[in-house]
Amino acid sequence: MNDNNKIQGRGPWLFLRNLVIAALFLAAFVYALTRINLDLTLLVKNFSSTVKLWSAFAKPDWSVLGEGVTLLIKTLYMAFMATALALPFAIVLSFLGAKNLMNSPIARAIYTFVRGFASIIRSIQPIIWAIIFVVWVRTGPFPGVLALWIHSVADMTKLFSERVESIDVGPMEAIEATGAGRTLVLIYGVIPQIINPYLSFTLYRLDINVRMATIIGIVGGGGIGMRLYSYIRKWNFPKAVVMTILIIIMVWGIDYLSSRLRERIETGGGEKTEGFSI
Amino acid sequence: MAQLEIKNLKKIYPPNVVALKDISFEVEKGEFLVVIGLSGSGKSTLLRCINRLIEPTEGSIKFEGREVTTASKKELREIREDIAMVFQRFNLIERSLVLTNVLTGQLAELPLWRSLLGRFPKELKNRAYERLETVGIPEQALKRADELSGGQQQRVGIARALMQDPKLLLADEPVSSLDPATSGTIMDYLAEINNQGKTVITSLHFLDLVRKYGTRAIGLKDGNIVYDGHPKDIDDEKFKEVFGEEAEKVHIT
Amino acid sequence: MKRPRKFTLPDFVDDVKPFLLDWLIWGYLAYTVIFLLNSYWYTQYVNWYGTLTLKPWGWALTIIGTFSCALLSEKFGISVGLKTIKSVERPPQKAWALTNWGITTLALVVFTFWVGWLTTDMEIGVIARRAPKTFHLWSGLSHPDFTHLINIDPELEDTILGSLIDTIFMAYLATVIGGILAAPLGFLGARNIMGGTWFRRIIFYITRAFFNVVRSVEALLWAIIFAIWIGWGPAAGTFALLIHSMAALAKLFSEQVESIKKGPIEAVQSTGASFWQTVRYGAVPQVVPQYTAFLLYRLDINVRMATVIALVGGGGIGRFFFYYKSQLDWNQVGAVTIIIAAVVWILDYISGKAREKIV
Repeated sequence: MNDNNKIQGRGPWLFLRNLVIAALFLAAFVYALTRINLDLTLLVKNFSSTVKLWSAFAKPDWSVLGEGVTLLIKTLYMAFMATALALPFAIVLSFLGAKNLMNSPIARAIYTFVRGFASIIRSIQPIIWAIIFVVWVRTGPFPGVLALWIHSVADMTKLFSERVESIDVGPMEAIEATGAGRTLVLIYGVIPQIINPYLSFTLYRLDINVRMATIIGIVGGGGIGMRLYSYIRKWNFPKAVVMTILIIIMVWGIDYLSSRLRERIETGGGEKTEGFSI
Repeated sequence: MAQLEIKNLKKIYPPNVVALKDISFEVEKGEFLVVIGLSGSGKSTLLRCINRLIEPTEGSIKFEGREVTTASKKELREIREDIAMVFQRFNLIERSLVLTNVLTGQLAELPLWRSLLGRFPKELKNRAYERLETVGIPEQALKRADELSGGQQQRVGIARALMQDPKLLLADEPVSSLDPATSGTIMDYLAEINNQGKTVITSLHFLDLVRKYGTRAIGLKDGNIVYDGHPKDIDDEKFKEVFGEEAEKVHIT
Repeated sequence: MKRPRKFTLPDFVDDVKPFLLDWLIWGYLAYTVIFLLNSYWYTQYVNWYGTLTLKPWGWALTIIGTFSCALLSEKFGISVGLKTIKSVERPPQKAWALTNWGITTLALVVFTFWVGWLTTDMEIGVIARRAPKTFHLWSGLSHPDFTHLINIDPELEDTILGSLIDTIFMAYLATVIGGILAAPLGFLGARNIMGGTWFRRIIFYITRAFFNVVRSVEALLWAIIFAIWIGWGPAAGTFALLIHSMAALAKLFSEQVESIKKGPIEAVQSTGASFWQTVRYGAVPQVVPQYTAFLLYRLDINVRMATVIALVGGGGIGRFFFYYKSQLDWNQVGAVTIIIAAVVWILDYISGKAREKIV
C-alpha cells in the first residue's frame, strides 16, 4: 500500500514539472523569435535579391570543371591527411585519457590534463583554428590540414577514451590472471575490444573532416572552399554553382561510403531484425 | 454454445503461401488449450487470426457469439478488449515505464484525449500496480521496461494482459525465449489465470509443458489439424505425426 | 512469414554499384598519377603549378584503362567496391591485413598518404620556423581583454554578452524549428512507410535526394546564400542553421522510423486500442526518446556553428571575433575565444548528460 501511494504521489508533481519545463521552452522560443527577428516574410519580400543566384543554377559555367575537380581532390586529400595524421596521436592519447586505465595519482593527473585539453581544443571550431594556423604558417592547404588535424586529435581522443572506458573487464582480468604485465593486458585484453569502434570513429571523423574541408578555405585554409568563396565575392555565380555541385557530389559520396563501411564494421555484415512496414 | 467457434478458417499469404487450410474447432470456457506443431506450421497465424492481428482469408471465427472476421473497426476493438495476448518476444514498449506498459492494457476503456495525454486515472494506476503484484514484480513498476530481464519482461507482458481483465488469453510461444526455470514460473501464472475461469490458448514447443498444463491439445501440421485431444494421450505415434520423424529428439525434452 | 510483394529496385542496380565504386577508385588512382606527373613536371622544368592537361586520346586511354582495371579487380577478388557494398565472406583463417581486400585497402591508404603529403604542401619545418609570428596571439590569449563583455562596443553596437545570447538563441531556434519541420520530411523519407507503390517510391527518392543535397552543403555556405537573400545579421545565420539542421534531422528521423519494431505495435493493437492510441503507445515511444537525443546533439552542433557563422554575415558572437582579429586586437580576440570555448564546453557537457539520461 505504501508503494502504491508513491506511484500516485509522483503523478501530479511529475505532470507539473513537465508543464513548467514545457512552458520554459516555449517562453524561450517566443523570446528568441523576437530577439533574432526571424521574419519569414523577408524570404518572400527579398526574393528578387537571389534571382541572380538561382538563375545561375540553370546555366552553370562548366569551363571551371577541370579546375574544380583538381581542387576537389585537393580538398579530399586535406581531409584524409588530417584524419590519418590525427589517428596515431589520438590512439596514444586515448589510453592516457581513459579513467579506468589511469589509476595511480600521477596517472590521474595525466588523465585530467589530457581530457581537459582535448575538451578545450574541441570547443574551438576548426575554422577558428584555421585562422590561427593561417597566421602561423601562411595561407594554403597546409594550415587547413593543421586546423582539421588538431580538432580531430581532440575529438577522436574524447571518443576513443570513452570507448576504452566502457570496455568489458572480463577479458582483461583473464589475461591478468595468467600473470601477464600491463603491456600484454593492453595488447590481448584491451585492443581486440576497441579496434572496430576505433575504425568506425575514424571513418566518421573522416566524413566530418571532408565537410569541414569544404568550408575551411573561406579563411584561407585552401581547398575548394577558398575558390568557391572568391567566386561568390566576385558575384560570379555560374562558376560558384559548379563548385557547389562538385562539393555536394563529394560530400554525398563520402557520407554514403563512410556510413556503409561503418555499418559493416559495427554489425559485421549481419542481418537486420524484422521491422514494421505499411 | 462454445466460447470460441472457428469454422473453415483459411489463411493464404500473398502471393500464394498457404498458412492455414480449412481449420475448424471449438473452445469451451475455462479450457487450457495448447497448440503444438513445428515452427512454420501455422500456430502463430492461427492465434493472430483469432484477434485479427492477421486478416483471415476465409472462414468464420465466433467469439461469444460475435463474428470476428466481419466485425467493424469499433466492434473489433470491443472484441479485442476481451481477448488479451502475450507474445514470444514480450513486445513491451522498451523505453516506457513498466507501469505505463501495464496501463496500455486498459487503453480501450479510456477516452481518447486522456490516453493521448497519458493522464491515467488513479484507480487504473492502482489496478496496474495490483496486476504487477499478482506477477510478483511490484518493485519494478517505475523502472524502464528494457532494464528488466527476459523473465521479468514476460511477467510485465502477462500483467498487461491481466489489466484487460480478458475472457480469453492468447499466448504465442510465451516461454520460447526464456530459460527452463523461468518458463515454469510463467506457465504457473498462466495456469493460475486459467484456474480463475479464464480460457487460455497457447502455443508451446515442449511436450512436458504441454502435458503438465494443458487440458486439451491441438496438433498443427502444414496448416491442418492432425491431432485434437487430451495432452496425456499423445503417444510417440501421434507425436511423430505432428512433428515428423527427425524432430523427435529435438522436441521431446 | 511472407509479406505482400513490395516494389524494389531491379537487381542489376546492386551489381552495378560495386563496379562503379571500383571504377571510381581506379579513376582516382589514374588521376592522381597524372596530376602528380603534371605538377612535378611543371615544378621541375617550368616552375609553375599547372592544372591537369591531357591530350584527348589520353583521356580516352584513361577511361578505357580504368574501366578494364575495374572489371579485372572484380575477377581477381581485390574489389573494394564488392567488399563495401555487397557482403563477401572473408576467409576466417587469414589475418585481415593479409587478404586481397586488406592489401588493396592498405596499399590505397599508403599511396593516398604519400600523394596527400605532396599535394597539401606539408612542410613541418615551417611550424617551428614561423612559431615566433604567433607570439602576439598567445600573449593575447593569456592577457584577455574583457572590456566589452558588458560594455557596448561602439563599432559593433553590441556587447559580447549580448551577442553570446544571440548565438545561443540562434542555435535554439534553428534546432527547434528544424526539428519540427524534419518530422514530416522524415516520414516521407522512410523506406518502410514509402515502400508500397511506384508513386510512393518516387516521393521517397525525391525526399531522400532533397535532404542529402541540403545536408551536403555546410551551414556556413547556406549562410552566404541567406546573407545575400535577407541581408547580414542573426536572422540569416538562423535560417542557414535551420535548413541544414532540418535536412540532417530528417535523415536521422527517417532512420528512426525505419527501425520501428512491429511487436509493440501488435501488442497495443491486441488490447483493443484505437488507431491514434496505437500510434501514441506503440510507435511514438519507439521514436521520440532517440529523436530527442538527436535534437540535443544537434543543438550542440548548432551552437558550435553559430559561433563562427558571423564569418559570412550570419551574426552572433563570431562578429566580435572576426572584427577584433581584423583590427589585430589580439587581447580582445583572446577574450572572445575564451568565452566561446567555455560556452561550447558547458553546452557540450549539459547536452551529453541529458542525452545519457534519455537514451
